[in-house]
Amino acid sequence: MPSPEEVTQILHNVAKGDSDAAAQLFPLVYDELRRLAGSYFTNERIDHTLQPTALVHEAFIRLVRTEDASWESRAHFYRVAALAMRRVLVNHARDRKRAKRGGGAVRVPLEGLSEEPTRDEDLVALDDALERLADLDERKVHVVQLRYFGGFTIEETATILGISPAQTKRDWTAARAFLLREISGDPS
Amino acid sequence: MTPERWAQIEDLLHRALEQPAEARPGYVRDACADDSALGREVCSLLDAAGVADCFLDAPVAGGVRSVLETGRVVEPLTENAGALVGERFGPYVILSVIASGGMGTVYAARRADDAFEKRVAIKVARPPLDESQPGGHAERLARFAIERQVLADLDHPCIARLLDGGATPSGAPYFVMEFVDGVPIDAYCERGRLGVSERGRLFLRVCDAVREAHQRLILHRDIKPGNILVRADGTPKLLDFGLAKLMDPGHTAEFTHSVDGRFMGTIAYAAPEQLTGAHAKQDTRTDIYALGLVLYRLLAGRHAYPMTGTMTEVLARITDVIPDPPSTHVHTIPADLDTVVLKALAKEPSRRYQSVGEFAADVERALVGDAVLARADSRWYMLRKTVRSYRGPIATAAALLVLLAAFGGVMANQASRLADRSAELTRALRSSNIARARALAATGSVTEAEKLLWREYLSPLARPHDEAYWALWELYAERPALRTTDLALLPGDMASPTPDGSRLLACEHERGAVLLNLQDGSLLRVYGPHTATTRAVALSADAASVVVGDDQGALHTFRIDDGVETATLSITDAPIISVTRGPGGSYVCATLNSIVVANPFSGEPPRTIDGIPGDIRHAIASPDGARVFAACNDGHVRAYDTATGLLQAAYLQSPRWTSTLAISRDGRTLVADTDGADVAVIDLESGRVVRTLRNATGWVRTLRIQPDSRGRERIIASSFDKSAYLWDLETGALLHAFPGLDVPLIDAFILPDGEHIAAIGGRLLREWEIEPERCFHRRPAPGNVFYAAYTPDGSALITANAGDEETIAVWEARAAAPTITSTGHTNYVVACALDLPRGLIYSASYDGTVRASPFRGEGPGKVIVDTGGVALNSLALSPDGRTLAVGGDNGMLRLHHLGAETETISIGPASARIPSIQYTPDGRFIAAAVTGLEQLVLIDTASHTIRRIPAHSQTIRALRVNPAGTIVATAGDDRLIRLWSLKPGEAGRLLRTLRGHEQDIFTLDVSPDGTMIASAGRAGVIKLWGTESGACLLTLRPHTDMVFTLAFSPDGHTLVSAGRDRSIVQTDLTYYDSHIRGNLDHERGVLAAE
Repeated sequence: MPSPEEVTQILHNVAKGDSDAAAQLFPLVYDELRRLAGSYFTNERIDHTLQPTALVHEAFIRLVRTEDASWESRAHFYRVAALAMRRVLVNHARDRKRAKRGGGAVRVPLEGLSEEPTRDEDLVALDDALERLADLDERKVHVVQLRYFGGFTIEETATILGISPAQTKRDWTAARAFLLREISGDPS
Repeated sequence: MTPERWAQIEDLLHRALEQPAEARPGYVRDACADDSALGREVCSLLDAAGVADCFLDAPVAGGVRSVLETGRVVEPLTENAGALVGERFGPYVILSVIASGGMGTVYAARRADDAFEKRVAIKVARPPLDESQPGGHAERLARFAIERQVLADLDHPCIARLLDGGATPSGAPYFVMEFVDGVPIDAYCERGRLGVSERGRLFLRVCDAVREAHQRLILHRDIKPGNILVRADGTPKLLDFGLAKLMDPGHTAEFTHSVDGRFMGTIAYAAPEQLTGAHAKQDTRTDIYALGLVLYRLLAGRHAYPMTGTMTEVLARITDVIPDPPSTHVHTIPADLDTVVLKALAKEPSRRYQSVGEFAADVERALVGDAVLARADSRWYMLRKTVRSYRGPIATAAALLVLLAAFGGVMANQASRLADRSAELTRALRSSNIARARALAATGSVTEAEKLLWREYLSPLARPHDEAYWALWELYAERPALRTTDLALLPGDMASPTPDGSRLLACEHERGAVLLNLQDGSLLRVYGPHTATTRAVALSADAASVVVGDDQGALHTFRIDDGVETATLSITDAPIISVTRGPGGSYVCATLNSIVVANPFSGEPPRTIDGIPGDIRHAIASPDGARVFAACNDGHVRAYDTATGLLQAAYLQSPRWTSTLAISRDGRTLVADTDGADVAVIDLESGRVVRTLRNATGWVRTLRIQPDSRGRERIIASSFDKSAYLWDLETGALLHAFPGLDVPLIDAFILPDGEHIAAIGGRLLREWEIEPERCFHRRPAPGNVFYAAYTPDGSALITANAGDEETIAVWEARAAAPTITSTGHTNYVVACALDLPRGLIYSASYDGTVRASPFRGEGPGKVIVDTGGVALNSLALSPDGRTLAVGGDNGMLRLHHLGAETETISIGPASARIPSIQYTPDGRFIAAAVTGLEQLVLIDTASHTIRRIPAHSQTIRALRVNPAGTIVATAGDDRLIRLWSLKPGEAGRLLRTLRGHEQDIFTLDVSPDGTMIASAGRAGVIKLWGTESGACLLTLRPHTDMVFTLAFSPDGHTLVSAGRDRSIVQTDLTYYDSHIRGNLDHERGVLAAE
């Protein structure tokens, strides 16, 4: 189990460019998120919809408990946490979906996508689409993860990825179009 | 679709989007006139891009960022600080806010019922963030009351009195203190332009106050200029004594400060041990360090460390960099004061002043010009510190200078031969790298040393068994890392090796339970599709099954060999976070707040203990299963009765979490991590912590109690400080620490053979032998041993032993006891020579005789030479077996032709001893060492002409001719080994001098292949040298006293040594070869990756 100082130290190491540390960070964040998510569900402290803000909030407090100074290490935490959020949310969505109707891909018409709140189907389809996007353009996947699962603005995403805001915006526009088309099941 | 095609599509998409919406379809059509598929793609994307308000446009919910920005760290205290103005706190009325900071807010207040308008300061702590903190509200307040009383009794003119205290309605503790109207001590000194001496005097008054508090066992914990106010009358007043602990029992304040500058002050005055997490190690010396920083600030007018750059850099400076002496900033500061300040600022508490009194006394001495007691840092210490800071991100110019000075010696040796040939230069650099690695290893930086050595070992310049090889050998003798295995995946903690030690059951975050091959790290099997947290997997008692708790609350059992699921048991709704083996086929499964004891096969319903507070991190059962223990995030270990589910006891009140538990075989002792880096050993009968093991300097991740090969129970911990630790359960003694992976450890355990420890860090698994220096095989000797050698076929070892009588022992390989031959000598036997054709062994003694005894037979031997009382020192049999050369104490060399006459040759004055003689292999020369003259004497056996070579500046004691007969090596009390040529035409020419033996050299040998020379002497240290390179290859310390004799075995694999410590040691020089080979693949991979 990670201690806060461990995570902080790992973050320092990640910032120093230690790839082992990055490999270590993900399972920590992921485990913690998942553990918490599980307890939320089973305790019915929240209803059907996951509240990631509260969740990550608690995960962060448990894991880090400190404000880390260097931007680089924070940027790494953001990247890893955004990926971890994606995995946690998507895995939960998959599990619930499986429980409900026993799996199988579901295509959603484009106009159906604007519905609130986010449905399990959307998340699962999004995850699949992101996998396809990863084969074409890895960076766009990062942009989407940070924007959608991380809640970052264009400018922040640009800083985290070390690219220009204009480029980030173009990436986002193209990725969004790609993902929506993929999810909606338009022939391609 | 290919990435290239996608780039094309994307490009067109962006261009189309730049067009007005209605023009886009036409634009795309035109652009794709000859590629309609491209057009369709882009059009479909344009449609998607046109969708407004889809779920992607709002972050999935709040997102990660808001958390990171608003974590527990930034407390909105400042905004609310003013809210209490006008409120009453008991008899006090709040007047205004004085300051607001990380730990709370300070108000000016007055007594409402007081006619005298007495002003006080009230400090209100942050309200408790987490209500589930250790101890309820009431308990916490009760503890405050006690400690408050202790502080209230602290009465010193320079300490602001604590007057009262209590809790606000919201539960935040508050403290009422004497109001001090003054300015911070540093500002006071600057404004008044105080001189060095006045500043020192003022500081001494502060010291006196701290000393008074320390005598009452009260630490300040937060000494900084801002907490020392000087009143207009010049009286310094220390504020907030002891409050740091009262207001923040977890002492986490330092770590929760934001770095926007507001709270930087606290970090700036933190001691290294407060930053490295060794909280348990905080004591009065932590205050002394802070006082040292205050004095530095007062003297130099600046902080000891630059507070610029990132937090990481600042922290690294505090923990690794020795500050510049204050006099570099202000030249009028006396050098002694520099020394005193730097001593107070030593990184290790043990190197600081041990009491404020000592510190103050030295400051006083320095001020009046008396000699201070603090010694300037020794060179060794400076080197060590430098080497440490070298590891960190900052290598200052000063550090480089010291490094250059330290290794300059090595370079200087080489300098004369550098010439301008680059190969020479490269070799010199190589030696200096190896020297640096050895220094690193000697000062504890084992990982860095190892890395450096492997780099040299794998360099294209390396030759087999050269310096780098032996330096690695030496490193592994200390830390026997048997091998390093790259694992196929990153395992979680609490992994289980199978009883045969061949496989490892672990849990990976993605795949769940996995089985790894311990030999090559490969993935053998994945058990089920179930996701599980890293501790939710256990091995059955018979190792035939794998038990996994998934995060839906089900317990799955799989056959280990084929992965078939044999049982599934739903035991809870919550994710299972830890599974450990209980008695009788049961498993102890923990969720965040319950423990379930379940048996997958018995059919009995699982027993559930619910509602456990504090967030469980790990749970185990007592060996009889009657109790279960939970390590909780709130710092408690809770014990429950398995049958009734009732809480029986709670142990520890760590201000930090506990996260790992282990219990002894007899169920009487429990170990748990506490306070971060410590391990508490709890006696379960009394419920008391019987000892705390404080060796780890980083957080302990896993703990186990396991037997070693002799059944002795050991505690083993893996720590974040990158080391594994091994303690004896019974005594708590630290047996070994295993540094050597440069990542924090995930897990560590004793392998089933009880002889090895395995540690996992990142994707690496490293195995060590528990016992270091297993290359030494010791045999007892009855007393002094002056002679040891192997028979020419290597089948037996011959030693001449002193004891009740003088004997020759022949140790056959594998025989438990030696064959003893009584020689009949009446004084020490100092040399022997084996005459196999005659079946005799000759022995020379201080009693003045040479005797011939039957080899492997009964004694006593027959006297064949009798000098009439002139002590003999050396003996050699000519290669043709006809002549015995004997060296005596009177400068005379006797040539005893067996069965014929004896010749006597005087080679030195009557006072000279001949401690060592040897024939050249061709029998043409006898080489003899002559003391007094300190000469190497070469005697032509045919002509008896003598050639004298002045060899040493102090007593010559040993010589040895190499097997090829081309070189003779000599050594003596000048601690030099000199190699002389024996080649015709240049006989007696000095070839090279080997420097570096720290003590007088008594004995030498040359390896059978001639490539190495072994030397040993007064201190019992043995060194191995490269004959060609002249470099010291290996230093061995198997003896505790003088070594009189050493010899290589005929195959060169073993070195025997003996002397005065009553032990005959055979060193297996091939032993760590397997360790080097075991780490070779991994290190090659590392180098290739670079």
